[in-house]
Amino acid sequence: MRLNRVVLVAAIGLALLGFRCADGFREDEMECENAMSYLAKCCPGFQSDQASCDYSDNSSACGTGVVVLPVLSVSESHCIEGESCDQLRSSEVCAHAQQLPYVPPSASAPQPVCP
Amino acid sequence: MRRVLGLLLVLVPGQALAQARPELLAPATPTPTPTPTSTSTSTEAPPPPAPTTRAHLLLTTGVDYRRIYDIGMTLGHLAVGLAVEQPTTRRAGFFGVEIMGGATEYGLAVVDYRLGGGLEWRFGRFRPGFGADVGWLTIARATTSDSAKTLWLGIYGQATLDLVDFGAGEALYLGARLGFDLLGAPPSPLVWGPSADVGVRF
Repeated sequence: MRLNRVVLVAAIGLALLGFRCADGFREDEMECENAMSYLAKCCPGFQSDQASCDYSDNSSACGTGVVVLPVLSVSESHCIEGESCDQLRSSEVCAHAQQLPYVPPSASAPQPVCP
Repeated sequence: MRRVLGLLLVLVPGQALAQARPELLAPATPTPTPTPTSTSTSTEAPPPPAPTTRAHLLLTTGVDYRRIYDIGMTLGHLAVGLAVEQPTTRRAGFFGVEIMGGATEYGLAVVDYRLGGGLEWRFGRFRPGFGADVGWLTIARATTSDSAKTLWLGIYGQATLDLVDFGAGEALYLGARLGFDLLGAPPSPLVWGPSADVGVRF
Protein backbone atom coordinates (compact mmCIF):
# COMPACT_ATOMS: atom_id res chain seq x y z
CA MET A 1 0.00 0.00 0.00
CA ARG A 2 2.79 2.39 0.96
CA LEU A 3 4.69 1.40 -2.18
CA ASN A 4 1.65 2.28 -4.26
CA ARG A 5 1.56 5.76 -2.71
CA VAL A 6 5.26 6.27 -3.39
CA VAL A 7 4.78 5.24 -7.02
CA LEU A 8 1.76 7.55 -7.33
CA VAL A 9 3.63 10.53 -5.86
CA ALA A 10 6.62 9.83 -8.11
CA ALA A 11 4.37 9.62 -11.16
CA ILE A 12 2.69 12.93 -10.29
CA GLY A 13 6.09 14.54 -9.73
CA LEU A 14 7.38 13.32 -13.08
CA ALA A 15 4.21 14.52 -14.79
CA LEU A 16 4.57 17.97 -13.23
CA LEU A 17 8.22 18.09 -14.29
CA GLY A 18 7.04 17.15 -17.76
CA PHE A 19 4.64 20.12 -17.69
CA ARG A 20 7.41 22.51 -16.80
CA CYS A 21 9.72 21.25 -19.52
CA ALA A 22 7.06 21.14 -22.21
CA ASP A 23 7.56 23.81 -24.84
CA GLY A 24 5.71 25.45 -27.66
CA PHE A 25 3.12 27.38 -25.66
CA ARG A 26 4.89 30.74 -25.23
CA GLU A 27 3.14 33.52 -27.09
CA ASP A 28 6.09 34.16 -29.41
CA GLU A 29 6.36 30.45 -30.23
CA MET A 30 2.65 30.07 -30.94
CA GLU A 31 2.40 33.24 -32.99
CA CYS A 32 5.53 32.28 -34.95
CA GLU A 33 4.14 28.82 -35.75
CA ASN A 34 0.85 30.30 -36.92
CA ALA A 35 2.58 32.94 -39.05
CA MET A 36 4.73 30.19 -40.59
CA SER A 37 1.62 28.16 -41.34
CA TYR A 38 0.03 31.21 -42.97
CA LEU A 39 3.17 31.90 -45.04
CA ALA A 40 3.21 28.27 -46.19
CA LYS A 41 -0.36 28.68 -47.39
CA CYS A 42 0.15 32.05 -49.10
CA CYS A 43 3.67 31.88 -50.48
CA PRO A 44 4.35 29.42 -53.32
CA GLY A 45 7.31 27.21 -52.52
CA PHE A 46 7.70 28.45 -48.96
CA GLN A 47 9.08 25.74 -46.72
CA SER A 48 8.08 26.35 -43.12
CA ASP A 49 10.45 23.70 -41.77
CA GLN A 50 13.46 25.80 -42.83
CA ALA A 51 13.09 28.00 -39.73
CA SER A 52 12.59 27.40 -36.04
CA CYS A 53 9.90 28.81 -33.76
CA ASP A 54 11.40 27.23 -30.63
CA TYR A 55 12.35 29.19 -27.57
CA SER A 56 14.96 27.95 -25.13
CA ASP A 57 16.45 29.62 -22.10
CA ASN A 58 19.46 28.55 -20.07
CA SER A 59 17.94 30.04 -16.93
CA SER A 60 15.44 27.22 -16.63
CA ALA A 61 16.17 23.68 -15.52
CA CYS A 62 14.98 22.49 -18.90
CA GLY A 63 17.12 24.85 -20.95
CA THR A 64 19.79 23.79 -23.39
CA GLY A 65 22.38 26.29 -22.18
CA VAL A 66 21.78 28.96 -24.80
CA VAL A 67 19.04 31.51 -25.32
CA VAL A 68 17.29 30.97 -28.63
CA LEU A 69 14.24 32.95 -29.69
CA PRO A 70 11.70 32.04 -32.36
CA VAL A 71 12.75 33.30 -35.75
CA LEU A 72 9.73 35.68 -35.79
CA SER A 73 8.80 38.02 -32.96
CA VAL A 74 5.20 38.43 -31.82
CA SER A 75 4.89 41.78 -33.66
CA GLU A 76 6.35 40.32 -36.87
CA SER A 77 3.96 37.38 -36.63
CA HIS A 78 1.00 39.71 -36.07
CA CYS A 79 2.06 41.78 -39.04
CA ILE A 80 2.22 38.72 -41.30
CA GLU A 81 -1.11 37.41 -40.02
CA GLY A 82 -2.71 40.81 -40.65
CA GLU A 83 -1.88 40.82 -44.36
CA SER A 84 -3.81 39.11 -47.11
CA CYS A 85 -2.05 36.49 -49.21
CA ASP A 86 -1.95 38.93 -52.14
CA GLN A 87 -0.36 41.60 -49.95
CA LEU A 88 2.23 39.15 -48.63
CA ARG A 89 3.24 38.25 -52.18
CA SER A 90 3.18 41.79 -53.59
CA SER A 91 5.05 43.38 -50.68
CA GLU A 92 7.78 40.77 -50.92
CA VAL A 93 7.15 39.44 -47.43
CA CYS A 94 7.10 36.00 -49.01
CA ALA A 95 10.51 36.64 -50.59
CA HIS A 96 11.97 37.90 -47.30
CA ALA A 97 10.47 34.98 -45.38
CA GLN A 98 12.14 32.53 -47.79
CA GLN A 99 15.50 33.87 -46.64
CA LEU A 100 14.92 33.55 -42.92
CA PRO A 101 17.72 31.80 -41.05
CA TYR A 102 16.85 28.70 -39.03
CA VAL A 103 17.28 30.67 -35.80
CA PRO A 104 17.80 34.42 -35.35
CA PRO A 105 21.48 35.40 -35.34
CA SER A 106 20.92 37.55 -32.26
CA ALA A 107 18.75 36.62 -29.32
CA SER A 108 17.56 40.21 -29.00
CA ALA A 109 16.75 40.78 -32.66
CA PRO A 110 14.54 38.33 -34.48
CA GLN A 111 14.50 38.80 -38.24
CA PRO A 112 12.27 41.59 -39.61
CA VAL A 113 10.35 40.40 -42.65
CA CYS A 114 7.16 42.43 -42.54
CA PRO A 115 7.03 46.06 -43.82
CA MET B 1 -16.88 -27.87 38.10
CA ARG B 2 -17.94 -29.90 35.09
CA ARG B 3 -21.48 -28.59 35.52
CA VAL B 4 -20.23 -24.98 35.64
CA LEU B 5 -18.19 -25.45 32.45
CA GLY B 6 -21.11 -27.09 30.77
CA LEU B 7 -23.35 -24.17 31.77
CA LEU B 8 -20.79 -21.66 30.41
CA LEU B 9 -20.59 -23.49 27.08
CA VAL B 10 -24.32 -23.25 26.79
CA LEU B 11 -24.71 -19.66 28.00
CA VAL B 12 -21.85 -17.91 26.23
CA PRO B 13 -22.80 -18.92 22.68
CA GLY B 14 -26.35 -18.17 23.57
CA GLN B 15 -25.45 -14.62 24.64
CA ALA B 16 -23.45 -14.04 21.49
CA LEU B 17 -26.30 -15.28 19.38
CA ALA B 18 -28.74 -13.09 21.27
CA GLN B 19 -26.60 -10.01 20.52
CA ALA B 20 -26.24 -10.85 16.87
CA ARG B 21 -29.73 -12.14 16.07
CA PRO B 22 -32.06 -11.29 19.00
CA GLU B 23 -35.12 -12.39 17.06
CA LEU B 24 -33.89 -15.98 17.05
CA LEU B 25 -34.02 -16.20 20.81
CA ALA B 26 -37.19 -14.23 21.29
CA PRO B 27 -40.02 -16.18 22.82
CA ALA B 28 -42.26 -17.60 20.24
CA THR B 29 -45.39 -15.59 19.85
CA PRO B 30 -48.28 -16.54 17.69
CA THR B 31 -48.19 -14.74 14.34
CA PRO B 32 -51.16 -12.44 14.18
CA THR B 33 -53.38 -13.31 11.32
CA PRO B 34 -54.36 -10.32 9.22
CA THR B 35 -57.91 -9.35 9.69
CA PRO B 36 -59.42 -8.30 6.43
CA THR B 37 -60.88 -4.88 6.70
CA SER B 38 -62.22 -4.78 3.23
CA THR B 39 -61.83 -6.74 0.04
CA SER B 40 -60.29 -3.86 -1.93
CA THR B 41 -57.38 -3.16 0.45
CA SER B 42 -56.43 -6.80 0.81
CA THR B 43 -56.01 -7.25 -2.97
CA GLU B 44 -54.11 -3.96 -3.67
CA ALA B 45 -50.36 -4.33 -4.02
CA PRO B 46 -48.29 -1.75 -2.15
CA PRO B 47 -46.93 0.98 -4.44
CA PRO B 48 -43.34 0.39 -5.57
CA PRO B 49 -40.80 2.51 -3.72
CA ALA B 50 -39.77 5.66 -5.56
CA PRO B 51 -36.27 5.39 -7.06
CA THR B 52 -33.71 7.29 -5.05
CA THR B 53 -31.40 7.90 -8.02
CA ARG B 54 -31.76 7.77 -11.79
CA ALA B 55 -28.86 7.29 -14.22
CA HIS B 56 -28.80 8.51 -17.80
CA LEU B 57 -26.35 8.11 -20.62
CA LEU B 58 -25.34 11.38 -22.29
CA LEU B 59 -24.27 11.70 -25.93
CA THR B 60 -23.31 15.16 -27.13
CA THR B 61 -21.82 16.74 -30.22
CA GLY B 62 -21.18 20.37 -31.06
CA VAL B 63 -18.84 23.18 -32.02
CA ASP B 64 -16.30 25.13 -29.98
CA TYR B 65 -14.35 28.35 -30.30
CA ARG B 66 -11.18 28.74 -28.23
CA ARG B 67 -8.61 31.49 -27.86
CA ILE B 68 -5.03 31.24 -26.74
CA TYR B 69 -3.29 34.64 -26.72
CA ASP B 70 -4.61 36.31 -29.91
CA ILE B 71 -5.02 33.06 -31.80
CA GLY B 72 -8.47 31.67 -32.44
CA MET B 73 -9.25 27.98 -32.79
CA THR B 74 -12.39 26.44 -34.26
CA LEU B 75 -13.17 22.91 -33.17
CA GLY B 76 -15.88 20.27 -33.04
CA HIS B 77 -16.46 17.85 -30.21
CA LEU B 78 -17.97 14.50 -29.42
CA ALA B 79 -18.71 13.57 -25.81
CA VAL B 80 -20.10 10.61 -23.93
CA GLY B 81 -21.02 10.70 -20.27
CA LEU B 82 -23.20 9.54 -17.43
CA ALA B 83 -25.62 11.69 -15.44
CA VAL B 84 -26.96 10.63 -12.05
CA GLU B 85 -29.90 12.53 -10.60
CA GLN B 86 -32.19 12.27 -7.61
CA PRO B 87 -35.79 12.73 -8.77
CA THR B 88 -36.69 14.11 -5.36
CA THR B 89 -34.18 16.95 -5.64
CA ARG B 90 -33.23 19.41 -8.38
CA ARG B 91 -29.57 18.44 -8.36
CA ALA B 92 -27.81 16.06 -10.77
CA GLY B 93 -24.19 15.04 -11.18
CA PHE B 94 -22.50 14.16 -14.42
CA PHE B 95 -19.13 13.04 -15.68
CA GLY B 96 -17.73 11.94 -18.99
CA VAL B 97 -15.05 12.04 -21.64
CA GLU B 98 -14.79 14.23 -24.68
CA ILE B 99 -12.63 14.60 -27.75
CA MET B 100 -12.27 17.91 -29.55
CA GLY B 101 -10.63 18.40 -32.91
CA GLY B 102 -10.11 21.33 -35.24
CA ALA B 103 -7.55 23.91 -36.27
CA THR B 104 -6.19 27.33 -35.43
CA GLU B 105 -7.29 30.17 -37.67
CA TYR B 106 -4.00 29.74 -39.59
CA GLY B 107 -4.48 26.04 -40.19
CA LEU B 108 -2.55 24.25 -37.43
CA ALA B 109 -4.33 21.09 -36.30
CA VAL B 110 -5.62 21.00 -32.71
CA VAL B 111 -6.69 17.91 -30.73
CA ASP B 112 -7.94 18.06 -27.16
CA TYR B 113 -8.92 15.11 -24.93
CA ARG B 114 -11.00 15.96 -21.87
CA LEU B 115 -12.15 14.07 -18.78
CA GLY B 116 -14.28 15.63 -16.07
CA GLY B 117 -17.58 16.12 -14.35
CA GLY B 118 -19.79 18.55 -12.54
CA LEU B 119 -23.16 19.42 -11.05
CA GLU B 120 -26.32 20.87 -12.53
CA TRP B 121 -29.70 21.94 -11.20
CA ARG B 122 -33.07 21.34 -12.84
CA PHE B 123 -35.52 24.20 -13.24
CA GLY B 124 -38.12 22.72 -15.53
CA ARG B 125 -36.48 22.25 -18.93
CA PHE B 126 -33.54 24.52 -18.02
CA ARG B 127 -30.43 23.09 -16.32
CA PRO B 128 -27.59 25.44 -15.35
CA GLY B 129 -24.45 23.93 -13.89
CA PHE B 130 -20.70 23.97 -13.61
CA GLY B 131 -17.84 21.51 -13.78
CA ALA B 132 -14.12 20.88 -13.77
CA ASP B 133 -11.99 18.80 -16.05
CA VAL B 134 -8.48 17.78 -16.99
CA GLY B 135 -7.19 17.25 -20.47
CA TRP B 136 -4.39 16.75 -22.92
CA LEU B 137 -3.98 19.39 -25.63
CA THR B 138 -1.86 19.06 -28.75
CA ILE B 139 -1.34 21.79 -31.33
CA ALA B 140 0.54 20.99 -34.52
CA ARG B 141 3.51 23.11 -35.52
CA ALA B 142 4.40 24.45 -38.94
CA THR B 143 8.16 24.26 -38.47
CA THR B 144 8.43 20.69 -37.26
CA SER B 145 6.36 17.54 -37.24
CA ASP B 146 6.53 17.46 -33.43
CA SER B 147 3.39 18.97 -31.86
CA ALA B 148 3.24 21.26 -28.85
CA LYS B 149 1.47 19.27 -26.16
CA THR B 150 0.54 19.71 -22.55
CA LEU B 151 -1.75 18.64 -19.75
CA TRP B 152 -4.22 21.24 -18.44
CA LEU B 153 -6.80 21.87 -15.74
CA GLY B 154 -10.08 23.56 -16.52
CA ILE B 155 -13.34 24.86 -15.14
CA TYR B 156 -16.54 25.73 -16.97
CA GLY B 157 -20.08 26.92 -16.58
CA GLN B 158 -22.84 25.47 -18.71
CA ALA B 159 -26.56 25.43 -19.29
CA THR B 160 -28.81 23.07 -21.18
CA LEU B 161 -32.38 23.41 -22.39
CA ASP B 162 -34.52 20.31 -23.02
CA LEU B 163 -36.00 20.64 -26.50
CA VAL B 164 -37.93 17.37 -26.59
CA ASP B 165 -38.87 15.73 -23.29
CA PHE B 166 -39.16 11.94 -23.53
CA GLY B 167 -40.20 11.63 -19.88
CA ALA B 168 -38.40 10.30 -16.81
CA GLY B 169 -35.57 12.78 -17.33
CA GLU B 170 -34.83 11.63 -20.88
CA ALA B 171 -34.60 14.40 -23.44
CA LEU B 172 -33.07 15.88 -26.55
CA TYR B 173 -31.37 19.09 -25.45
CA LEU B 174 -29.35 22.10 -26.55
CA GLY B 175 -26.34 23.14 -24.49
CA ALA B 176 -23.98 26.08 -24.11
CA ARG B 177 -20.71 26.20 -22.19
CA LEU B 178 -17.98 28.70 -21.37
CA GLY B 179 -14.69 27.07 -20.40
CA PHE B 180 -11.32 28.22 -19.05
CA ASP B 181 -8.35 25.85 -19.25
CA LEU B 182 -5.02 26.58 -17.58
CA LEU B 183 -2.21 24.89 -19.50
CA GLY B 184 0.52 23.12 -17.59
CA ALA B 185 3.30 24.04 -20.01
CA PRO B 186 5.09 27.31 -19.24
CA PRO B 187 4.14 30.10 -19.15
CA SER B 188 0.78 28.43 -18.33
CA PRO B 189 -1.40 30.43 -20.72
CA LEU B 190 -5.17 30.36 -20.52
CA VAL B 191 -7.26 28.77 -23.25
CA TRP B 192 -10.84 29.92 -23.09
CA GLY B 193 -13.98 30.10 -25.15
CA PRO B 194 -17.58 29.09 -25.69
CA SER B 195 -19.12 25.86 -26.94
CA ALA B 196 -22.55 25.02 -28.29
CA ASP B 197 -23.91 21.52 -28.64
CA VAL B 198 -26.86 19.26 -29.05
CA GLY B 199 -27.24 16.08 -27.04
CA VAL B 200 -29.49 13.28 -25.90
CA ARG B 201 -30.04 12.11 -22.34
CA PHE B 202 -31.49 8.60 -22.18
